Amino acid sequence: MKSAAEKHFSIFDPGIHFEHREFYERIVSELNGLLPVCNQGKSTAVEISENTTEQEQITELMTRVESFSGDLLEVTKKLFDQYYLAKEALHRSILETTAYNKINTLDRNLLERTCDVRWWALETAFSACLDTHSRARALAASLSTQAPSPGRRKAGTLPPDLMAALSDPGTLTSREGPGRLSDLLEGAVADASCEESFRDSAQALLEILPELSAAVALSCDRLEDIRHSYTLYRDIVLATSEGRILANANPAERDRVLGLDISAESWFEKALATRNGTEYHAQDLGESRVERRASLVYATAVRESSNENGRAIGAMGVFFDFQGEAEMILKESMPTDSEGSPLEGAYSLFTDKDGRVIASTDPISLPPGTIAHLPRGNRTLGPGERTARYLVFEGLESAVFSARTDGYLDYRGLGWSSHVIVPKSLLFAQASPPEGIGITAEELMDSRILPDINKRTYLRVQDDKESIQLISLNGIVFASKLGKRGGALGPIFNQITRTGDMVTSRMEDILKEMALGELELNLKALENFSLQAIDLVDRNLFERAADIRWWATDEYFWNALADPGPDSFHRASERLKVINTSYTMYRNIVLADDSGNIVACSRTELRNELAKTNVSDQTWFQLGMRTARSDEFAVQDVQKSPLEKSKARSLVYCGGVRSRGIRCGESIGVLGTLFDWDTEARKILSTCLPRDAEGAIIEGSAAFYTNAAGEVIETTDETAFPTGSRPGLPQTVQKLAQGATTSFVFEGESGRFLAGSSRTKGYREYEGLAWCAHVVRPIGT
Amino acid sequence: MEYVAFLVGKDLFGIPVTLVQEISKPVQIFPVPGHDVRVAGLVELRGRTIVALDLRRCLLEKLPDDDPPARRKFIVLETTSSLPHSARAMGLATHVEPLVLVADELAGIWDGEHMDFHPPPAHVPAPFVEGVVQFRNHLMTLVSIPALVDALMPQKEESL
Repeated sequence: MKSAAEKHFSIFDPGIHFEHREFYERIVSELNGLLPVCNQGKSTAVEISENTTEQEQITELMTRVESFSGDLLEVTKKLFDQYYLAKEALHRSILETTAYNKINTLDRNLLERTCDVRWWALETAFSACLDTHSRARALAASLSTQAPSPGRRKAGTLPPDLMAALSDPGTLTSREGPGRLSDLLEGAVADASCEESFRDSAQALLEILPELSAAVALSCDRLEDIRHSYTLYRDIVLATSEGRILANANPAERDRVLGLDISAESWFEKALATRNGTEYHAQDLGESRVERRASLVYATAVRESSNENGRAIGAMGVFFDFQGEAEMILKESMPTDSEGSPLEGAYSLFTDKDGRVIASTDPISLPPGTIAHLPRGNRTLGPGERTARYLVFEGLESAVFSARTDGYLDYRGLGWSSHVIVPKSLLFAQASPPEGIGITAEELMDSRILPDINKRTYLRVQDDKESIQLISLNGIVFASKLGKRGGALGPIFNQITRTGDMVTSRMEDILKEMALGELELNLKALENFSLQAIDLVDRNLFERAADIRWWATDEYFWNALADPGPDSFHRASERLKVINTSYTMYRNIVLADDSGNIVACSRTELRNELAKTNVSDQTWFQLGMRTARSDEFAVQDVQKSPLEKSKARSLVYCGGVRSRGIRCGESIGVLGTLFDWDTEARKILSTCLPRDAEGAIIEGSAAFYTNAAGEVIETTDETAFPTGSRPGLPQTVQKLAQGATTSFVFEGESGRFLAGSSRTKGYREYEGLAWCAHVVRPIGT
Repeated sequence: MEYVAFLVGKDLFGIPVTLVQEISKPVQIFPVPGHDVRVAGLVELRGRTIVALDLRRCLLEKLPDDDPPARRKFIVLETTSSLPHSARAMGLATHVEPLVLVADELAGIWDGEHMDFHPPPAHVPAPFVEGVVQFRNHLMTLVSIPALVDALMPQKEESL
């Protein structure tokens, strides 16, 4: 698809409907039929009058009719060009945005993943585990070198399997390795012939082995906790500096994964090479020994004593469920047929920087790992660029819309692109706007929804229609004054009137059809925007739900609650402060004991004030106390909270804290996060506003969220749709089912609007709070 | 006789075709201060400056709430001197100067042969009405051009 300036649809373009071609030919023949009529008029003038002034008057009228019909022919030709260009442009803007949103959604998700890995790698359990391992490893290594050589041995021999076990870097990391080693060592120590120095070292190693097993078990537990909280990972692994897997999160794979040698894998090398705790490495989709399918790995180093700037003593790699996530994103906002199943010939896919398919909605036509047969221009986009082209795909005339990632915030992306392929026939399908939408074609013609060029054509057609009518009327006025002689002119003017009316009203019809098509696509676009708005907030809140579940298991908090006192509360507060510094989307994080007293919070300046606060009457606290497992959380819908006296609305997520961080059991207190909801929500809403062809936000448009009761909870327009108000949305919106979308016309206080709405469908195990997102644009005349 | 029919507000009016010189698209009206409000102002048509009468103010009891439509029409009347003999013979008259009637919308040309003519109802004060014609279900009020001219146009010739 070239830009609108160069591209033109001839009436013979195969994309043009045959009904439209037929229609065009009809108009052309009707208008051409006027020419002989006008000639007849001119000769009649000579026949009926000898007065030259009268003849000239008639001839002038005829000439004007000829010129108007010529004019209408031109307008008709351009009309179809305009009609198809407009459809193309609207589809282009919608589908390019769809393609872009898919890659952007993925990028947003991947950004969260980079935060995750950096934060988790700082957990003390992991650095302690690696430290224990390296002490054991050093002892084993020195044993294997200081073990008496066969020549010096006085009596007995060190079994070769002990020697092998001591020198193998994989012994300590494998599942049975430590147990086997300790058996072998005990056997060797029991051998009276063994040297004293060997026996001492062996004893030391024997003592440390159970400690190592306990540390590994704890690390595996903590990794499992993470995976329970953040369900979009297939596995999370901890590797020693020598490149052996020491602990993992997925118990089903543990036997296979522990002890694996991944020292040659690039993610491991890159992770060890990171310079401090703020750095990470994102490894593009590829093979890894850890997993059976292509993996997307985020990795960073685990540092000595969990100090951000400490020496790298191992690596952590997180294996993201990319395929699952990509599948979910690719399926979204795809065109469907009348039964709601995916439209034949519509595909969506992601390609990597080399144009290789990494995920697609149809693995048979677009198998992952192969180069996608897309036009070159669609494969070689610059960051953030979008494009669209026609191609034949799987035998169907299709259009492909592509967009390349420009990263999201500080995540630069891996150069991936997103593509949406749809059959060309979909682009030019006849408009079928929802019936009873409550707006007439005439109102549309007068509105700000239509591009100016259509309005200009409409006005021009009406103008021409009027001119032809006037010529005929004046002709009849003129003829009637000629009395009987004028009678011969009557049929001629009647014919002119009839043709003029027929042609212009048909053209008006097609302009109205265009307007309805435009309306349909505009409603679709608004619906898509609202879907995006609710989806982004769902995904964001899912992350919040994951965060709270994970933090609630942190040892600082259960320690503070088990051993209450100013010191332990202070330590908990300091810990919360560290968390809050990394996760800036929270305004405050608080810890409440089992009777609802706030004992710690992340915001130092609020500690004194909140220390006097009791939250036992708050919904979030009560719900949090009732959670029975560490993978549960609770959320209190947006409302006023005593924790934030200056804010009209707070959104609180909470999770129960359990003694010793166990996964099941009674809560001994509640951890609550105060999400900076308004800032984040407004940011999301402002990216979901409709834009014109030049990319400027459409004047008067607005986006807002409503809660289950239909009250506005956040908005981009505090004047037209203020928070706390109930905009007069139709009943159908209140009745929207989970995950459903709709579009409609409604009467707001500041005028009539086109609107699209979507009800939350949740994301993964986060069900959402039955909120709706709405995006509106004024009809305005 | 044939009539040019037109709408003013929602009401249907008509004048004999022979009194009409031409029907044109509207052009800009230049108001004339100090005139009767029923005179819309002056318009420029084919190089002539012509007085335009606002039919809404002349014929309607009460001004409609909505603005006059954008596509209203100008009905240009013949002058006394250009009026065909046949018209004069039938007793029709216009003004010595050209005049424009500003109508809201045209309703076509009606053939009066099949219509019944009624004089204006006696008890209704209707200064510019010549009568009413009925055609099927429609009633068309015939506007008296001489009455309009008498009431609104200063009689220059006499004063000179």
